[in-house]
Amino acid sequence: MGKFSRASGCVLALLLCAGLAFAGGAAEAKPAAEAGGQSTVALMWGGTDAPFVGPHIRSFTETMEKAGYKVVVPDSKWDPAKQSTDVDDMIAMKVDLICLVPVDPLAIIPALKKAKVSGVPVMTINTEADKSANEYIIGFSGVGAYEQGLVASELLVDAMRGKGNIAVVEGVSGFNVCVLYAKALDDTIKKKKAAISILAVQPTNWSPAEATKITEDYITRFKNMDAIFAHDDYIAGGVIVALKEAGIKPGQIKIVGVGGTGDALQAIKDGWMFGTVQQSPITEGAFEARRALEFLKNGKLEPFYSIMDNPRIDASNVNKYKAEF
Amino acid sequence: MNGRRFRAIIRDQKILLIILAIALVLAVVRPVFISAENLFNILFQVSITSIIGIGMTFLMIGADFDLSVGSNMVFATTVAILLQGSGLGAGIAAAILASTVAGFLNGVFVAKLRINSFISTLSMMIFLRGLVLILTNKQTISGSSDALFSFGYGNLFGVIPYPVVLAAALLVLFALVLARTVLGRNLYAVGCNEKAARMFGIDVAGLKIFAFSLTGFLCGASGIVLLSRLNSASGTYGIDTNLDVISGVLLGGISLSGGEGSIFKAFQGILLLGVLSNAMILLHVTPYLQQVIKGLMLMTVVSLDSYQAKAAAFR
Amino acid sequence: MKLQNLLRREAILAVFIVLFVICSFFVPSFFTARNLINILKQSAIIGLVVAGLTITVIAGNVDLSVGSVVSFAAVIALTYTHADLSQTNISMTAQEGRPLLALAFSLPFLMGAAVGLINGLIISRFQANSVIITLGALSAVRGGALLVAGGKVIYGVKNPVFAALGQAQLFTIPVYVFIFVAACIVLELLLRRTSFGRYVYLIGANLKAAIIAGVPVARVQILTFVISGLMAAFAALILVARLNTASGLIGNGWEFDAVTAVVIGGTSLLGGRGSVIKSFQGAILVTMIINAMVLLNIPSSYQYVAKALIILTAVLIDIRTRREAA
Repeated sequence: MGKFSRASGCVLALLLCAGLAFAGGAAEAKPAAEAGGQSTVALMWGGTDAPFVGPHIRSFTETMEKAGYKVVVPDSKWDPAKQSTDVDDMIAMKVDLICLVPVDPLAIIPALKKAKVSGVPVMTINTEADKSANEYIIGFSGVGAYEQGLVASELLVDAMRGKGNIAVVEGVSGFNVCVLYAKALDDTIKKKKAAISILAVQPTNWSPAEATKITEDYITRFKNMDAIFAHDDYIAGGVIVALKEAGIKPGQIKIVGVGGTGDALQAIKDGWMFGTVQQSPITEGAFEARRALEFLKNGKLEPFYSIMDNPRIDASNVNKYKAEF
Repeated sequence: MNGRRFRAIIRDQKILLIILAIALVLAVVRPVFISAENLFNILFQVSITSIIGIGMTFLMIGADFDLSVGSNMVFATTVAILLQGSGLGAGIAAAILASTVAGFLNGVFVAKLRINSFISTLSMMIFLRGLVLILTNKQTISGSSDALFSFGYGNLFGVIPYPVVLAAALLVLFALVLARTVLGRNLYAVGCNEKAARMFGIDVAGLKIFAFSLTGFLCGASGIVLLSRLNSASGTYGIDTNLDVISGVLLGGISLSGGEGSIFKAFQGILLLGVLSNAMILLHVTPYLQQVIKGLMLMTVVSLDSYQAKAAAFR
Repeated sequence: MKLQNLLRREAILAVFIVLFVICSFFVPSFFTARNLINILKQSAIIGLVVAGLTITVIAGNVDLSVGSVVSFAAVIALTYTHADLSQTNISMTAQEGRPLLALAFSLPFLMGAAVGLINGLIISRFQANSVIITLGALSAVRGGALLVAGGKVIYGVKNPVFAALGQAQLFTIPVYVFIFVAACIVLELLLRRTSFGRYVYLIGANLKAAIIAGVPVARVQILTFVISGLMAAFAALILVARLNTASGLIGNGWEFDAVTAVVIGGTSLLGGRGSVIKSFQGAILVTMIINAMVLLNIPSSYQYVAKALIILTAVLIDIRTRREAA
């Protein structure tokens, strides 16, 4: 009669022991967290599963750890609401600095306000929050998605010699970076008075497989497509697969991406891609970590903005770049 | 005798015991865990999922579920922002009404048109997501006033966040509705055996439509909480809310086949997920490992639960 | 009369044909050989997942871990095709030296089967709810994929044997389309012609009756999960052979797309009814709708709205006609 419940009691006990062991183990691995007074920095990405994020976290963490800091990385799962509550957690943990990539430029503002009131400094990194958040943060370091979009757009205009038709393979509809890229493309076309029209914009959820599908449909639909703007190099890879399978020759349709992945550099050498915008997560992670360290040492951040270069990579200079990621 | 009672407590209050165990361990290795600030943070973090979880519990007791809750919540936020020009109160009222209507439609699809809840609510989820993208023109729109900031970030008596107060009030209210009213009893009857319930003259379709509308209403309320926290809306918000709510409620021991469960059980499940997530952050568990641990935790607890239920059935 | 019966039984097929004809007339470049092949290509890979999942659903369960299995299998497969690191730009993994193709082909299947086995064991032995158990597995397996990939993208080596799986063609149609069709036929035969198949329907229709009738319920349920895990791994192999990259993010959300295709095909989530061929129709129907909308260049926000309405209508027609028949 009691056999089942005894067994289940044992399972429960085991589970609790496992929980204890795991908690204890984690505590042992990082002994100085609170007791030893070691300083902690929070690295808050919108989500942690995107390919760019993994290498960035590693590079940022390595740089911080070398300087004797601990790094805590919450996972906001690309949800602005979760990110704002994660900020609450970091405030409760009394971290010394929050380095935050806003999932959404506006949604994060109230959380930044709370951090400011609670005396926890925040530096936005990678992508900026809305300018109206500037009074709540100590500064911004990163790449500037809009500026990046401008470089990519210039590449596109050059690739098409100022006239033709572009199809866009975007990341996620309404996602901050994608909105900024779209704006940069519009602005560039207007500024350069280029005779370029945008044939279509379709989302991929950052998936190369989706990019392949959408490109297949573009090829069927648009006989007059001269160039494709892929919102990152990973989805540009998916675009190339579709072009190859359709028997299209390298360079026949110009592809521009963003990133500078090893795959993209190779594609530029092979003529499949016209160009891309360099954004190495490894360089960027270390760069932002150094800015964080500067603040932690001096108690202030000068200048407020520190924006990394967005070098343009095309066939003329591709050999200068090493595949980092 | 004593032993048996002990085992019964373990069986019935498993989730609570696990929460307590985690809390105990954390209190020792990370004292910051039991600071009032952190504990209320956790309660705040689960407040939105708890509010929607109430509706989901009603649905699951009646053997339905709703995948559109996240989209519906953001839909409410969007409507409130777009209409706040004619007054914040009017915007909020319209938003809650809009979400309730969406929930009502789900109910009609399921109860009247007999489309299963997966397809009905999945379609509603995709539909509302599209609608929000259209209404916001694929950008983030922001509220003009900070009027709700003091709600989203304010505390009752200086410690309890207002959204937590709201969630607690709603939890108690609807727990009473479920446990003490004819409506609640009928809902359990429908979940247990729809045909029998119908033969006893219970208005099955009406009940189902009510449960879906209630869920819509609660999504609307959550949408306002979201507005008070984020003061903005876009089509990219709330993507995983549906799965967070459903896993929490199921973890609380509410069965998808209907007829059992209670609001507080559901809340315990949601709270456990919140506590676990907070604990893993405090323990500096890396994000990828967090996912593995959360998944294994879900599987272990639910297997244990089912194992005990099976054992109880043997007896 | 006969035609009426046929229409009732094959409502989704009828919806498909009607939509197909409409699209052929009104959607530019829709009715071209290339586009029709595209639709097949676009449904084939996720179609393998759909086909496997159908059997699990007929048995009255659902497997939400398939999307994560796709990503884990993809990551494992590419990790072990690193036959020669000098060919890659970067050493993305620790794998060194000789071809490990055998591992690249077998490990994903082993992993898929193992995940299915664990899901199936828990669900059948403890009579646990499959939604929550496989939701747990979804999270755990995706976490595993991200851990193995280190949160990065893994690039494969252009290994000819491996690449052929995704790139070889027969009569200008990719080989994997034929694999997809063949897999559907094999699984359909498994359901129709074997005692395993009969048991699957019986368990889905009435679990208690199946137990009383002496059906090896646990074994059959476990096998259904193993099949869905294996098919997800198979899909992952073809996917990475074609794209040559994998990350922990690949296959994200496929579980929902797959369940949608299964349900649109008319397989009941309560179990006991449905078929692989029907799910095949469901998968192609969804792909065709999206394909037509992209060809029409409908903005993505409106696509969401249209997709929702079309899915709802298709299922409504299916339900209506079936109820009239009953």
